[in-house]
Amino acid sequence: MIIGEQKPLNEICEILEGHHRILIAGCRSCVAICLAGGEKEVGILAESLRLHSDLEGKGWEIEEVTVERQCEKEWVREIAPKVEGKDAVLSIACGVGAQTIQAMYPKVRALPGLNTSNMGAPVEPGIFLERCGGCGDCVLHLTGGICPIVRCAKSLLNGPCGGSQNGKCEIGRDTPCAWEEIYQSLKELGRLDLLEANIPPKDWTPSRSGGPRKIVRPEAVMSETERQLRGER
Amino acid sequence: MSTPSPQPPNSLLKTKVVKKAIVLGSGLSASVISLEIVNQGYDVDLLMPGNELINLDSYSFPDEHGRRSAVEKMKIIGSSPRIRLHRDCTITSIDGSPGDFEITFNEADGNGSVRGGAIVLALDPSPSGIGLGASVVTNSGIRGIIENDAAIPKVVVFIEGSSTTMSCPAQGTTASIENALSIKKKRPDAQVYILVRDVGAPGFFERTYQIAQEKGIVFFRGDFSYRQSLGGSGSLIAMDPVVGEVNIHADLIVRDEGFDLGSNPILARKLGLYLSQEGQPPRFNTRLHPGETIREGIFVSRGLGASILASENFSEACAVASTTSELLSKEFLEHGAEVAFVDKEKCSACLACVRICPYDAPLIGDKGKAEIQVAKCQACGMCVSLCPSKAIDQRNWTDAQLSAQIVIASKGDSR
Amino acid sequence: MSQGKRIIAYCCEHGGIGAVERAEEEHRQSSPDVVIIPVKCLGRVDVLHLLQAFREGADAVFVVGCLEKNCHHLYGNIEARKRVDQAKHVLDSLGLNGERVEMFNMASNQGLEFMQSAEIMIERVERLGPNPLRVKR
Repeated sequence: MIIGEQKPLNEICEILEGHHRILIAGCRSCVAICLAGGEKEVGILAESLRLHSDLEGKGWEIEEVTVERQCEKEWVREIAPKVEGKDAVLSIACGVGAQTIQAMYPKVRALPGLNTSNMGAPVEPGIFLERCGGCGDCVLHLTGGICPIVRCAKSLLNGPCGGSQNGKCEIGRDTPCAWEEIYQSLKELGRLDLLEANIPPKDWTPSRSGGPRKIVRPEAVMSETERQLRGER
Repeated sequence: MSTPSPQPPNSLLKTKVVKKAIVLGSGLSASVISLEIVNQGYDVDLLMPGNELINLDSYSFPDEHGRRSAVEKMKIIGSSPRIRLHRDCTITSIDGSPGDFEITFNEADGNGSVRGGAIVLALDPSPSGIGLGASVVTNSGIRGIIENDAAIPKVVVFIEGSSTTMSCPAQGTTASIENALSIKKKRPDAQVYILVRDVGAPGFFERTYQIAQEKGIVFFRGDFSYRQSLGGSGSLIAMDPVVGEVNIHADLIVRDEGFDLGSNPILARKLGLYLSQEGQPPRFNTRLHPGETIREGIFVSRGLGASILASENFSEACAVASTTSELLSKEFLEHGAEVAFVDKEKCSACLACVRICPYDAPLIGDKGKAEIQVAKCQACGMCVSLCPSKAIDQRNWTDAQLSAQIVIASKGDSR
Repeated sequence: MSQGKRIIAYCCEHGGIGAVERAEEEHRQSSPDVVIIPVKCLGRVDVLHLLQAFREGADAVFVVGCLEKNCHHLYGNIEARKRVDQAKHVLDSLGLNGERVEMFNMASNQGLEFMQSAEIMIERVERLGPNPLRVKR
């Protein structure tokens, strides 16, 4: 899922400078699960900002709302009554949510309260580790289920670099060397032979480097006729 | 200031108490408990992991009377119509709620299931229960050393349970104190330490405790940790609340017997016992009654063992039987007055509540959203404050109620 | 001109209220500045409840629970400590000073300990001054 972290309170206050009627918008999806932007965090941030406003005499009016999934038009549309009359929506969903809000409410500034970070997993309560690089060309079958793109700091494709020491990456003692992990995994699977296959230089076109990506599922796209028959929703 | 008066129960769940106890285990502990529960008027299903009710050889009885008494008990249990014995049991599931539990199991001749109002896990200490190194013995072991006049080491340290405070308490510090005195008698220049959190010296044994101190046996009343593993000659760091940290190089460490849970670590988890790193049952809060665990209807006896005072042995078992019977004496158990509840619309199924609950009350139901099982919830409120989607609130302790209190409490006017 | 103080104490039903009652039994005078909000377990207390108190004008908030490893519900007090730390961080960012919120662990028979924790918070309020929001009202 998407992992993000709230911006520091002081930075949020700076971003909000000049606005007075503020709606804080959270999301029940990924950011709730990584404890950054769910309804609970919305409540705590709202209270903190109200305290700030009271202490500094800013006269902020702050309201709260949490959307089922902030990236979905239908759900974002539902909060229209709450957006009414506001001069800013502070989104603590991921960047996708914040942009969806801006797109649905072009006259009201959508401001980010969250730094969206990566695609990862909650390995333990409170600890979230990056797992997938979104490269668009997955080679997990060759690497024993360990992603070399993000779990290797250099995104190497054919084995560790010289900085790998005692199973740790040279960037820090806490970071496991992905290629050590890949080796162990393939060993456990009995497929060390896969290490001998050379993974060729990566085509980065399907990754972020190729520009904003668009994926189409033709079977789900509505044809013109279907649109007409269905009518406007 | 007055304390808040308890809420009248507006229960959601009323369980009719099944007037039977399910005792898991074998040995003296299980035997005494079963007999005492029958004396209180309730039937018992005794699920034994093995074939034998009491393996007499695994106990060191202080005298012949004790041994005869054990044999008597075996006879009574074997012929009592109110105790059903099940042999060679492997437990397959534990379901139900306090007052009405159901346990299914495989036994010697097929499989079976029993229902009972309370579950008692009756543990007897076992010499093989915990890993021992060369310079670590149990209280029974050291008795052997002393009696055989073997070379008694210079520095002997008695420790209670394991190195964490979550360990099982001693079966009375009496055993350690008696053995310590014997050591001092055989070797007056021995340095003997007893590391315990609470000194258990009941009744007139208090005088023996006093004598022990007069003889120069040193008591540390706090936590302690090992610098090395138990295998080597241990270096202990004792933390005394008054003196601070003290380093002791022990020649010999004497521990209580551990409890052999065998395949029971899984069982322990199902019953809500969080075992220590060495697989030992937890030391319970002293505000719990004898045998009580934090889970209603689940009782644990950490019974009979190396304690010198025979009466102490049976006291523990009787006390547990008594607490169990108290529950069984009720007609109904009511639950729900203060439980947490989930608004499924808001739930993100993030598993935070499932992970945090000490009672395993939340689960993800078949709608893919969290549900709180009413009979298990003990109203601690941790899931309520933790839920990232604010999907959980608590009956009679709602967020709205707390807010109202905060508003009034924070106003600066005098009361 | 000294203005009354308002200090809130969240107390769990075991260690917290226990210590409060023990203090009363021992005839220790409790300060009228301290108002107790009872909870079953400190695990119920969230960051929001701590911050809300300050918005409503409290000068300080302290949280009283059982000794660690002694919580009846195993770790409600440890959860509370994490929330208190979170609240301290927010108060520091806001310039209110994280010392206004604190966590205390004690046993249910430690009446004196409770009084001492109240006194520590009263001293802090005297040193840091009243909640600026209370002065404004």
